[in-house]
Amino acid sequence: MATILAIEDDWTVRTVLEHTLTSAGHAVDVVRGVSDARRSLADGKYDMVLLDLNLPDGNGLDLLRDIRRDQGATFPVLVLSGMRQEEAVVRGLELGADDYVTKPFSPPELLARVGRCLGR
Amino acid sequence: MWRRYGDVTFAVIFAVAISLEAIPLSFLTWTLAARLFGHPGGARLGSILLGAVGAAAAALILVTTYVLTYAHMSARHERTRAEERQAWVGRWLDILSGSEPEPAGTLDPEGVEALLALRETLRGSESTRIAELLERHGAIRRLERSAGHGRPGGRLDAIVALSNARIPSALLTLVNGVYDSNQLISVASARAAARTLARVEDLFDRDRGAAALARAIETQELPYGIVEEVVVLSEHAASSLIAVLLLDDRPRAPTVRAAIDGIGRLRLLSFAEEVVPFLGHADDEVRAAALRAVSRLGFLPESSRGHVISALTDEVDFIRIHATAAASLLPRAHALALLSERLGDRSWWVRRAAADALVRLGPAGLAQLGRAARAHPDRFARDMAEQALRDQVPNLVRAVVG
Repeated sequence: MATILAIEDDWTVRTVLEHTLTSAGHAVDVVRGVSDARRSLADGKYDMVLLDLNLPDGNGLDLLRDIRRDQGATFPVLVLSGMRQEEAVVRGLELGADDYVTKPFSPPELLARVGRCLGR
Repeated sequence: MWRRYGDVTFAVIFAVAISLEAIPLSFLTWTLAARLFGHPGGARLGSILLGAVGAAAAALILVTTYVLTYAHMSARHERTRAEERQAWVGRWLDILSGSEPEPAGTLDPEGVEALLALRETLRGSESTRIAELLERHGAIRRLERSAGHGRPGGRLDAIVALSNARIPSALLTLVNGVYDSNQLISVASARAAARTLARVEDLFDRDRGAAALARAIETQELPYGIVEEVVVLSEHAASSLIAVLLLDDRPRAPTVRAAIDGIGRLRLLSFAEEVVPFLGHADDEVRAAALRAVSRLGFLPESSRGHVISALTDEVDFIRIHATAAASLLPRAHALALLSERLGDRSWWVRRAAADALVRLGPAGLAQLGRAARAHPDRFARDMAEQALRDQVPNLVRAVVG
């Protein structure tokens, strides 16, 4: 099973993510913002990242760009965001996200998508 | 606002503090006035001055102690409630997954808040089960009662909770709230009713709910911004709501505007034909809304092209702006010529809209901008065309280089 970093500021979503992913057998670390995420990612121990876009200390898309371009990371990134506009989805995928899930979300569907990302 | 609870305590504390200030100051004023009119009382004045300073200090200490104590207790209370809510979220997730039994009886407020937060976060079968839990434990019934009676603050909290819950059975309660004489309650109820209407699956109930909400909106004469918000918030049910709003015998101009803007924003192509007659409406705002909707829908029947072409030279700036955006839907050659002409409009905004519309027309539009930048007879048109082309450079580089 995988070690996953979830970057999310909403406490309800954080609890749901922890509960859903842990019950599926994954190890989950949850951080609230971009700066915490950068520190956690520096460890290099994650198999996958779940990323919210509107974070209190920055934009998730900027973090995604840095992960892909500057750090050259190859692990899958799944964007989990309340932004449903076509432009946001396209921008996320263009910047290197492997999948894009909009909130509100269905936990079984999220697990299926996480599984597919990890299986690639 | 720093304080949410304790209105009575707050009022008593401040009444005592102000009395502590006012009473010795009155004595002081009285004594000074007496001295002015030749009744000296030196020793008494000294003690009154001392009393006034002491009373002011006591009042300040009282108020500061209250504010600090309130802030401390409130932060601790909020922290405890947040922890309880979080624990409830975990517990509800266990209940939903079947690993824990459902609690019996009435839920505490944190349990209800956690369920409402989960209803906002999840969709699909989990969300449906959360709605069932909210109804089964009587939470919706209690919220409906609180939304209808009591102090405005408590009513607003209940309306917001119902808005998050989006339970179809609460729709009529929320629609009734739109008729409330308190405008805050009325507007909050309209928003909550729209969000709830979006969750009504049964088509008959949806149409009936939409009709009731539209009637309430029109009776209360809600302003354009609120009606538009209500239309957009009603999501899948927007078609039912718009149909009723536009079917009214004599709909108000703000309502028509909001309905047409909703059609454009939600890209409701099934209403494209309904928008067209409003391109010739007498009200400038309605005409502009129809032009906006036509642009967003990308639908302009041949019979209505004349309206857009004549709107390009309208006296009102904002009509010309929206007509310019809609002009890109005209046949290509005609659109290029008309938009190039608009690059020389007297309004900067229309010139910008023309340049943007030409960009949207792709290579032919960019070529037209190039020609305008070199040879348009109007200097401002040449500047705008050049600026629009410069703005496109990063996009072109990205398209080529990636």
